[in-house]
Amino acid sequence: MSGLLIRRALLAPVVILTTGACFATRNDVRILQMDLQASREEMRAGLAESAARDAANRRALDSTLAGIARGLALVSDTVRSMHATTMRLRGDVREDLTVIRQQLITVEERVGASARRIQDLRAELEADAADRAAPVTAPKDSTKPPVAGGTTAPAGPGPAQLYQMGQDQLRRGSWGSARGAFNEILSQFPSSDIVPDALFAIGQAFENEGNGVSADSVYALVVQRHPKSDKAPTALYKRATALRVTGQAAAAQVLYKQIVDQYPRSDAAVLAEGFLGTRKP
Amino acid sequence: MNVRSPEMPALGQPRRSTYVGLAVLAALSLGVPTRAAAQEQQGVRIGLTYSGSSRPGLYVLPMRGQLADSIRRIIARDVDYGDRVGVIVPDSGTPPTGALNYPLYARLGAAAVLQLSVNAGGGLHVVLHEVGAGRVMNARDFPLVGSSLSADWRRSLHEVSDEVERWITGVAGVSATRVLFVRGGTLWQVDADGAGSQPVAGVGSALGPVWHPNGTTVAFTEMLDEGTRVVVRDLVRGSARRFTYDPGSNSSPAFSPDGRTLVFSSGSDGTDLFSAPLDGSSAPYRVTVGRGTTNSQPTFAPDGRRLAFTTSRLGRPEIYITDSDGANPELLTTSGFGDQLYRADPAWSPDGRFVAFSTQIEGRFQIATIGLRDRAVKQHTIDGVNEDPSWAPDARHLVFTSSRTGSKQLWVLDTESGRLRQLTQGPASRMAAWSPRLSNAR
Repeated sequence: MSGLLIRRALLAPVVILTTGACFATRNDVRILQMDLQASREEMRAGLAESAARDAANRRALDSTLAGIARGLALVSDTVRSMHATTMRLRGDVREDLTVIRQQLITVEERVGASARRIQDLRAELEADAADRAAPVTAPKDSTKPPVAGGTTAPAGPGPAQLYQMGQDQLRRGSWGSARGAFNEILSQFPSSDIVPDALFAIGQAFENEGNGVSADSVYALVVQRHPKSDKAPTALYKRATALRVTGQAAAAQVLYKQIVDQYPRSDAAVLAEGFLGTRKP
Repeated sequence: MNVRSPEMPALGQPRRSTYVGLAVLAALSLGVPTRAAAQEQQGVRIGLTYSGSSRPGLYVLPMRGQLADSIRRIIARDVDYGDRVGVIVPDSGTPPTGALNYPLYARLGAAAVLQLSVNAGGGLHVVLHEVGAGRVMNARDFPLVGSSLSADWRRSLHEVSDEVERWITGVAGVSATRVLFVRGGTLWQVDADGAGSQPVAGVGSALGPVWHPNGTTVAFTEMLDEGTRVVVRDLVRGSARRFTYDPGSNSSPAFSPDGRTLVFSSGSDGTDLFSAPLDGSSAPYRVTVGRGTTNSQPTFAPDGRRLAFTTSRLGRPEIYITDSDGANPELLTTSGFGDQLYRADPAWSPDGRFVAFSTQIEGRFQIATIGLRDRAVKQHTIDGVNEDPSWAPDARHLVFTSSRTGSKQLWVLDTESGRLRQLTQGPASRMAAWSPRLSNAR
């Protein structure tokens, strides 16, 4: 019984305290709730403010991005425009270069044609000179020799005239006569600038006659004696072609390479490159 | 020229019209130089001779048979178109029997008399009499292939005509040949006498046809959306194969005279000529160094050693010749400073002596030839626009495109006499290529 009383005595303050605490907590809870409400509202206001700030930032960002995009578009347009201009310029330059290149080829061809015409004129001049040097009046008695100091003996044809004669014979297919005229140039006018051409033409006469061995020897002489003449690369090309068509491909390749190495700017080099596989055939 | 047979009075009652015909014939024959003044002088017989400046008269006797008129007409026309022989064709009549009255034919201006008859085998028995010598000059039987009036049958007769012409002049005619051409963007062919015009089966768009020397293969440029390519076609088998594979422009093929090589124009930035074996055994190799210029329209010399072609390297189209390996290119036609003439379409004559070409004169294209030996230029046409010449195998006749009648048609020109005849009729025709001599025996 006393134990019970003791327990009751001990519980009483606990109950009182607990009940009292309950009363205090409810009040406090209310306060707390109010605080919480205030905090919530504060938070909501903060959030609203933050959202407004974010929206403002986003707008600012969007605006900045739009500005950047506009800038980029502008730059892109500029680049595109510059690219188009560059391409147009490139095209124009290429076209101009093509025109210039074609004009250069035309000039080269016309120079070549002029050179041939000059050669013809030289031949005509030589013929005129020969005519002027011929006796004006024939001796009455043709059996008597001309008197010394009197009429001069007719001069022979000059190198240009001989070359023209040889070319005429080549066109007529008179290979022997053509060679005779060209040989005359070599023997009578060994220092003439027409000698490489004459030598080459002798090779042509042999080639047209079907005498490949002699033609090859003469073409070799052209290269050996006149390596800097216009005919040298063509002579080499002729030799290479002869080797190729007779099945000596390896030897032909050596000569084709020699043409490309030694005369890279010649037409023969362009032709030779086709056989070396260094250029589209 | 149609007149009556001078043999008829001997066979029947003379008729007034016959005598009138003879008188006309005799009068006309005065203008035909008689080259067959066969004589015996100091043991040397001077028989039937021919020179380019004269046309010996050939009298074609009437013949018997169902197709006699067609046979005679075709052969007489062929020989006439050969322009080497003056043909005298009497109206249909009775063929002479027995020995010919040679002096009578001589008085009519005939140097030779052609006697035709169908033999027992259905072939044609042909006898050529030499009037001056009063003897048979040649006689031979020719087969007539195919059904009457068919293309093969006609070709058989063309072969007879060509042989008769060879008997008389020493040079075979060109009747047994055909001409390829372009009509409506596709390929056609026609006999050299203008008959038998027909499209080449199985060919689409085509330009610039050329004949292989074998007379059965052709090459031409085919137009495609992505460019042009060269095609080789067998006319007998009907098979075709693409010859070029590079993109861009591939055109103007030309066969070498030995038929083993095909040269063509190819490129995108300018064009150059390339040569390749027809059997494709090796890659094409370059023949011209154009450096961006246009180089096209190759044509071989008959020996195959040289080529003529058109190039723009002078700033305008001009004709150059070069070795077939590409060496030694040179301007063929003479050119003065500032010369702006336009020359193109070269065609090397089969005898190697000339190159025919189109040249601009007073703003219009005309046909001209240049001698390879003396470089002398001769203009052959004046009327209309004339271009794209192609030689006949006799190296005397040219076929070309002309607008002289208002539309583009093919015409045949005898370069020696200047005689012209129209080859095609109907829709516009151009880009002709004359075949080599053909034969039914092929």
